Parts: sequence; structure tokens; C-alpha cells
Amino acid sequence: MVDEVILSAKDICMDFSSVRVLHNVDVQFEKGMVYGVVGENGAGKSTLMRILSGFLQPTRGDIFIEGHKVQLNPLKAKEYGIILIPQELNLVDSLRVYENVFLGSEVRKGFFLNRSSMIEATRRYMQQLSLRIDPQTYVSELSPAQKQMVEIVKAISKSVKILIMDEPTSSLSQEEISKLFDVIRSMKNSGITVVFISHKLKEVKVVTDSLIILRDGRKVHEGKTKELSERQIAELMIGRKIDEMYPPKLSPSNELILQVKNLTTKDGTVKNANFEVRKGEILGFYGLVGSGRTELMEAIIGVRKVDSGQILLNGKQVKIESPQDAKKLGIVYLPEDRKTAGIILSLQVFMNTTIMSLEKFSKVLLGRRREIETFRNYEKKFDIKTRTPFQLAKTLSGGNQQKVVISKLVNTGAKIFIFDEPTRGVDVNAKHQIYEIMHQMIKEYDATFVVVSSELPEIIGICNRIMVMRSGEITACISGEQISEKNLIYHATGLEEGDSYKG
Amino acid sequence: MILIKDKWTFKLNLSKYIIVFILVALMIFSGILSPAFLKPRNILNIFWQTSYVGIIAIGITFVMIAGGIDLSVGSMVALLGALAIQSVNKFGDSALSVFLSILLTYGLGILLGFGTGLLTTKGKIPAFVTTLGGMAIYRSLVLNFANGGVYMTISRKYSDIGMKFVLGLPLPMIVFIAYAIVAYILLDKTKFGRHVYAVGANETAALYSAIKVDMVRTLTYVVSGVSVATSAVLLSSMMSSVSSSSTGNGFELDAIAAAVIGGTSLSGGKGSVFGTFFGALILGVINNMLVMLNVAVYLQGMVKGLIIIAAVLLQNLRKE
Repeated sequence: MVDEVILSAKDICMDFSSVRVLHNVDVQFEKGMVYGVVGENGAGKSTLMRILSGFLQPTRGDIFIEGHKVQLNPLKAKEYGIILIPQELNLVDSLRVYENVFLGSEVRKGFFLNRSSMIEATRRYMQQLSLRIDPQTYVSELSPAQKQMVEIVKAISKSVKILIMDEPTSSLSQEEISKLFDVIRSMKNSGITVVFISHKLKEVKVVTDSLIILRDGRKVHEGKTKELSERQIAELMIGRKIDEMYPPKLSPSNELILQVKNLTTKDGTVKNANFEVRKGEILGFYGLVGSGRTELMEAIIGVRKVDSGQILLNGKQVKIESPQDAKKLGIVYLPEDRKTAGIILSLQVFMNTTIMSLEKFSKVLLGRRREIETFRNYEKKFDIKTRTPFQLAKTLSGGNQQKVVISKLVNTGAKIFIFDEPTRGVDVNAKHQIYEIMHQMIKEYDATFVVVSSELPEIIGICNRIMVMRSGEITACISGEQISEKNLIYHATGLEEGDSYKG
Repeated sequence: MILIKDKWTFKLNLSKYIIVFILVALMIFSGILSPAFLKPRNILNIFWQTSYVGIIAIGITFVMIAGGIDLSVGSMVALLGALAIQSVNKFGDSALSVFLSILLTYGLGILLGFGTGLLTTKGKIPAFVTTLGGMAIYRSLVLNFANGGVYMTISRKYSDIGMKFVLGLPLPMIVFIAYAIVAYILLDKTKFGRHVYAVGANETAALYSAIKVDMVRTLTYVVSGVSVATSAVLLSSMMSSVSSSSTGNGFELDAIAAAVIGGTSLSGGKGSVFGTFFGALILGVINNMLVMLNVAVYLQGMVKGLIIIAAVLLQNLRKE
């Protein structure tokens, strides 16, 4: 059988404000196959997919459809049958399912909309994928999984040839994921090519035929999925042996530094949370999206209203009603979304380092020279790559931005660091360095860390103990030998592994 | 490595001083069109006339960098000016009376700025709405008190302020320059100023960085109130009067225009006192030129409008 290549790209390069995020990537996709595009956060998966679906113009390189060179934009790509379902779904919550499916291509009867035919068509598509969603419900009433399905139906209604799904499983339960996989298989059988982006290896192993592995913007592997083990995939993704990625764990003292007792937030996102952290420890928080991890951290540093509960610092009860209070007590927070909450992109890098501790540089007027000296210190210590302290933070790569945010927190003199997804959107090398920085801080400054992470290898690789959360509650505290992917997933989902994934 | 660094700083400086080049080019151009333009007396006049809006524009720069807007400044000039004049009239023609009246004017300016700030931050009302409301309320109040007419004073001591010359330069011009220097230091060299930028550029990141976001925002409106009070005292003393219907009309637009021409971003996070200072002067030169070239009075607004749009367009093009 001759394999039919329907989409290929050659020598794709992409620069964002002079930072190269894709380096000479070649890919090709054949009809009726399921491809996995894997790589760590920040490896360039989403950027590549946005280029293939016309949302971004590559800095260099060509795209071919059925052998013909094309210039893509989102509309053209849609005409060719290339559809991207982004991680943040593109549905209008206030419209009904069928209205979303036909958004922009409404069926009309004369001047008026032909509702009944659109509803009927939507119902047919649903049956085709053996889904049961009423076309007339409002999208706002659907679960995340159902919304995902509506996106797929929308794609099918546009006679999709290549469906690209960007991390479709990130907010789905195991059960919903296996349903999604059924849908992917039935699409494959009807000749649709599916490109599945993920960094969850188990899912990739189960559902894909072929794999493209990206690391730091480069394609490092391409081949049949069944030829690689999960561990091999992981090592290709991070570019080194797993054991070398994480520095050997340190042993914390027995001294309790932070205790949280019966903490419940006003909005109910966190219920009755209890945990304690020891001096010099790295305590992990694992859970699915929406499990309340970030909300718990926000409550601790005073940006989310607390209904009841206590926080004890060195055994003494403290009151934290704002990040200012938290900072005074030596507790600082690295937010999960660097661009919207961590770094100030339009401010010069040295200003980002000092913005949280300006009182150290001024009585009345700011001592700019000392600010710059301070930045230079961190630049050396954390290996922050900049051209000058005066360049805007937006011109740095993700990893360097994150190191700047960390330098901002460290410079406050805090002892307790709450890191929420500290390595999201950061390249492999910088990731490794961030772990090293954490260890260095534990050794040199007596620092203590609470780390929220969705990346299993990371949380397993660096934490002394791991708290698992599910729908606002802490469901387990796992330590030592008990730390394993299987155990974490079990407590995060409440399902035994293997309950799902059955094809 | 050193070479790259130098190139970088040079590039930064160039974009900062480009506005000065534009002003100089504009002045040379005006001088060619009308030789009377470059006479020292005319230049001094431009500076003088620009001072009133210029001072307000400096205040609005703080507000805009922090991500807000202040539309109430024009009406506030009339209200504060009326207060100053009526107080002087009440207290009599003495130095103490003038001092007390000015103090009172500043007091009200600070109070109104603080109120606007609280409503926008704690009341979570968009700044556009609070200050649009303020614009209507202040104007209506002053119209009501003055019955639509004009407040006048015969106090010599008070009128002397606005007409005073120091070292051959008009006082409003000196105040404008001094005010710009102080504001520059406040915005560029203090913790408060840095926080203003941070809040406007990324409110969430500022919040997580333990910055008192609401407080910083509120204080920018206080800065704006102080600027309006300064301008109101200078203007009402120079005129010895305040017209309830026309004083300060259109000041908000001119002030915002000056800031925007000077590179202040309407969405916050960007801008400088330096830019606004020269932006105001550019606007002043254009105004003067339009008069000298006998452009129909009614068309002058159009020219100004076009220039503001062009300034923003230019900045966007330069970004790309």
C-alpha cells in the first residue's frame, strides 16, 4: 500500500521576539494515522501545531499539502481540512451546541437560519461518534470532556482531514479520556489523520501509531510508537537519563516550619486542608486541573479569601490577608502562569528582580546602581542569560524569565517558597538548573519549598513528600517508597490505573 | 560583547530622544513658514500657554501609566479655580489669605483625586466611568454656584502670582519645568514610581509581588488632583477670573493627547514624564502654528486630532 502523505512541513524555524523556539523542524503526516507529538512544556509542540494550522507564520520553512507548496492562514487551512483544537477550547459558552458547531457556516433558508436542519445534522454527527449530547443544550452547561467532543463534532462538520488536538486530556477524567480515545479510533477508521499533542506518555503509548518527539524546539526523534518504551520516550524528551535530570534528594530537618490546619476557602475551592512542611523540605502538591492546589496556595499567601482554618509559622499562629503580609512573614509565591502573574514583560529585567524588594534599595530615592549590582549577582548565580540588565523581560526565553522571577522572590529574603508549576514553558536545561537552584537555596539559605506540579516525573523526581488533592480536598500524603506514578494517579483520580485505557 | 551592549543602550536612548528631534524639526519647519514664529517672545509665549495643560498632562501620565484615565481634569480646573478665587474674595487681599486659598484648593484637589481613586479601585468602577462622571459633576457644580457666569477677583496679591516674571521668565513656565523635574524624580527614582509602572504593566504580577495595587492606583489620581490644583491656581490667578462654562474646556483631551504623543500607552505600563513634557510642547507649537498660519479656528481641532492619531500610528509602526 502506498502511504499517502497529506501534510508535510520542511525546515520550519520560528522566532519570537528574537528568541528561536523552533529549529529546522521537518514533519509529515499520512492519511488515517494517529500521530503523537510529545515533548516537555516549552518544547515547541503548540507553536509547531499553530504553524501547521495557519495561526502563525513560520520565520522560515515551507508547508506542503498533498505535495503542493502552500501559504497558510487559519481560513485557508480550514479549507484544506486542517483543524486545530486548542488547549483553551474555542467555544462560545452562551450559545447552544448546534450553534457552536455551525458558527460561521450557518445553514440558511432564504434570509433566515434553518435551525431544524442544523440540529438534525449535529445529531447525525453525534451518532456517528456514538455520543449523546443534545444539540440544543447550552455549551456552558457541558463538562470539559463534552466540550472537547463538541469541538470534534465541529471539526467533522467542516469535513476535517487532519485534526490536531493540543493537550486534549489535560482537564479530563480517566473515563472521559478513554471515551475520547474511542472517538479518535473511529475517526482514524474513517480516514481522518489525528495529531495528538501531549506530554503524558501513557496516553501517547496507548492511542498513537507514530511519534514525533520535540525537545527545546528541535525534532529529536520520529518513528513508530511501539518501537519505544515509555522510559525511552521520556529520556528522548528530556535529553538525558532520567536519573541525571533530578539532583539527589536532600533530607529535611524534623523542625516544622509551616503548618496549615483545617483551611477552607470562602468560595469552596479548598475544603479542610491540613498539611505541614519541615524546614529544608520540598513538599509536592499533585492533582488534576481544578483539584484546588493553586487555590490552596493562593489562600495561604492571602490572595484568596479564607473562610476558616489556621496557618502556623514556626509553631505560632499567623494572620495572612495579603501578599504583603505573606512577604513580611517570609512566605513568597511563584505563580503558575508566568506571563500573566509572574514576570512583568514590559519592564527591564533588573527591575523585575528588584520590584518586590525595593525598600532595600531606597530611603527616598532608588539606588539604581545597587539594583543593577544585585541583578548581576543573580545573573551569575542562576546563570540568567541576558545581553544587558536594561533589556525588556519579554525578550528573554521562558527559562530565563522564570529565573528572573525566582531571583525576585529570593531577593525578598523569604525562607518559604511556594512554587506553582516552576518549570512550565521552560527548556530542559533551564529545568535542570531550576532544580539545582532550589537545592542551592536549601543548603545556603535554609529555604523550604512547596511545589505544585502537574508533571509526574518532576514531582516524583524532586519532592520529599507529596500531597495529592482531588476536588478541593487533600486525599493522600505520599512519601518515600510509596511515591510512584501509579499511586499518585490513583489518589488524584480515585480510579485504579488500568480502569481506563482499555481499548 | 561590549559592542553589542553599546548598540543596545544607544537604541534605547534614540527612541527616547526622538520626541525632542520631532519638536526641533517642527520648530524649524514653523520658522520657515513664518519667521515671526522663532522670535524669543513667541517661543516664551508658547511655553507659557502650554504650562497649564502641560502640568495637568504630567499628572495624567501617572494615571495612564498605572492603567487608568482621568477625564475629569478639565472640569476640575474650573471647580478648583472657582474655589481659589472665591476663597481669596472671602478672606481678603492679604498674603495669608492667598496662602490659605491655595492650601484649600490643593486640599480639594487631593480629596477629589483620592475619591476617584477609591471609587475605581475599591468600587471596581472603570476609571473611564468614574472620571466621566466627575467631569459632568464638577462642571455642573461650578456652573450652578456661578449661575453660569464668571467668578472674578480684584485681589492684587492673587493675580500677581499668575503674572509674575522670575529672571525674565513667566512663573507658570518655571512651575511647569520644576513640576516636570519633581514628577520625573517621583516616577523614575522612587519606589512609588516603579510600582506605578508595575501596576499598569501587569496588575496580577504586581499583586503577587506584594505591591499594594489599589493604593498605588489611588495615589496616581491624587497626583492628578495635585496637578490640576497647581494648574487651576496658575490659570485663575493669571486671568483673575474663572468662567464656569469655558475654563478648562477640552483640557482633558489636550492633556491625554500630550501624554500619548509623548509615548504614554493608553493600556498602561508605558510612558514617561520626559515624553509628556515634550508632547505638551509639541502640541503647543502646533497650536501656535495654526494661529500664525491663519488656519480657520474651527479646523484647528481637526488638525490636532489628526496629529494624535498619527502619533499613535507612528508608535505602532515603530514597534513592528
